[in-house]
Amino acid sequence: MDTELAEVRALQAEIAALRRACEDQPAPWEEKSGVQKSFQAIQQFSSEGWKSSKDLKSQLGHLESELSFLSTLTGINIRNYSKQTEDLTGTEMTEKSIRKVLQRHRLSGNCHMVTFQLEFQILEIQNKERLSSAVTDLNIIMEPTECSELSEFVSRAEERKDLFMFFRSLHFFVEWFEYRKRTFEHFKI
Amino acid sequence: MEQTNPLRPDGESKGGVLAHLERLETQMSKSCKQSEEPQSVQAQEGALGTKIHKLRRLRDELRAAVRHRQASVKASIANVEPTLAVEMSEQEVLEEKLENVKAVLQAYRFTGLSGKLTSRGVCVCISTAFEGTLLDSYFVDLVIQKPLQIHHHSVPVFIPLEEIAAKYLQTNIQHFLFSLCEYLNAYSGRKYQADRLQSDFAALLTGPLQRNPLCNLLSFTYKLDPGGQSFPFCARLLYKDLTATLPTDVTVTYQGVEPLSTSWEEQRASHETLFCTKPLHQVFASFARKGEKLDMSLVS
Repeated sequence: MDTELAEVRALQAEIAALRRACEDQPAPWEEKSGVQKSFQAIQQFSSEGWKSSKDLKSQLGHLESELSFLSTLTGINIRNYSKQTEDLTGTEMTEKSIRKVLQRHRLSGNCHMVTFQLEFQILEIQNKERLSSAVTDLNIIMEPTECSELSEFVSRAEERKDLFMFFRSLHFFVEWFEYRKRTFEHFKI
Repeated sequence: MEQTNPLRPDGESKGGVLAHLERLETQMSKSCKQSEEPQSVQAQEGALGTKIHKLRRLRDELRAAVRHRQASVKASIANVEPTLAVEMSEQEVLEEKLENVKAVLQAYRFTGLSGKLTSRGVCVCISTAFEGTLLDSYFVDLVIQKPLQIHHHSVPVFIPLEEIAAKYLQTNIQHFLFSLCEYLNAYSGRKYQADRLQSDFAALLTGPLQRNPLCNLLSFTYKLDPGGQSFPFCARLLYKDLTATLPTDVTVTYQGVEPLSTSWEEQRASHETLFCTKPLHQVFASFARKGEKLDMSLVS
């Protein structure tokens, strides 16, 4: 009987504790405070997120206007760019304080109705006196492909590995083309 | 003793789980009271057994109720979390966009012209290169106001910046910058050729390379066969067109007393043509390659 009485007391104690636990956690549908508390916790976490989101938005806006300016200025609209770097410095070179780095660049975009995709490599050699950077490979894919004048300066640019010449020529060519088109349109009427 | 009903589904029971538990408890306290009444030992033992049984049941139901509530709270948080998830992914999208825009801005230097917006206007960066080799960059800081002004710049003093600005700055910024680009790239290219001649082909030069800051007037003496008996040639290169990297006027003269033989005269003339049509250092590279062949022909 004693053990049974002991068990009764233990059970009663546990029941009391469980009842308290039940009260501490009101059912979601009975009281909003639980959800409120968890929501507050989430809000606090994301309020910092909100702040940086606002910063991000304003930063993005500023940079996008910078991009729009450059696009108008150069006449070139770059849409995508990625770069990979490979350190080619050998142990011998490190001893002589020479560093060799190969960069692989990929960019694409358009100039009015002409779209381009460039893949080029730049080899950077740094020795004690100076840093030299040279384009070692240049591949240009253009769309439309049928235009002979376009293909001409594209192959010349590829040959000479002249990036700037390519972009400058592209801009002038397209401008001239657009001007010619407008002139013809004008005369049609 | 009353028979208690099995636990009904929470949503449907009147007053909910708590009420049901209260009912159970009431029953428990009733049976407790009952057990306190004087009874025979046997009856007491039996009452106790039942009491324990009921207490155990109450405890189990309470445990289940607590677990159930914990699960529900978690579920309700999960219901709120999707919004958080949406906020998070919106941020991720923004961050990705930002990274992309930053990268594309970097890429503009490969077009030769790039820049940054400033509080006053814009700071344009002009990159120069000679064929495949990337060279120095220069900047021009423009103040957007009427009239448009150059706040400061890193353009060398011998480049006719004011002249170009006077022609185009107020009417067409693009034209101004493209023109400046041309001058700077040409200067950079000429300088590069002269530097390469000095550093790579010093062996073929018989005296110092004379040049002006603009690198559009070069003068040097050279010999195709450094150890040989012949007199050196003297070259004078004038680049009248400051937007060009090839000279407009070239004179190659012979510094000897005796008149040149036919073959030498042919060479002298061909050199003049070479300097007009090919970059300086490339001409010398071809000299270096032909060096041995030339020696052979001179002997005969």
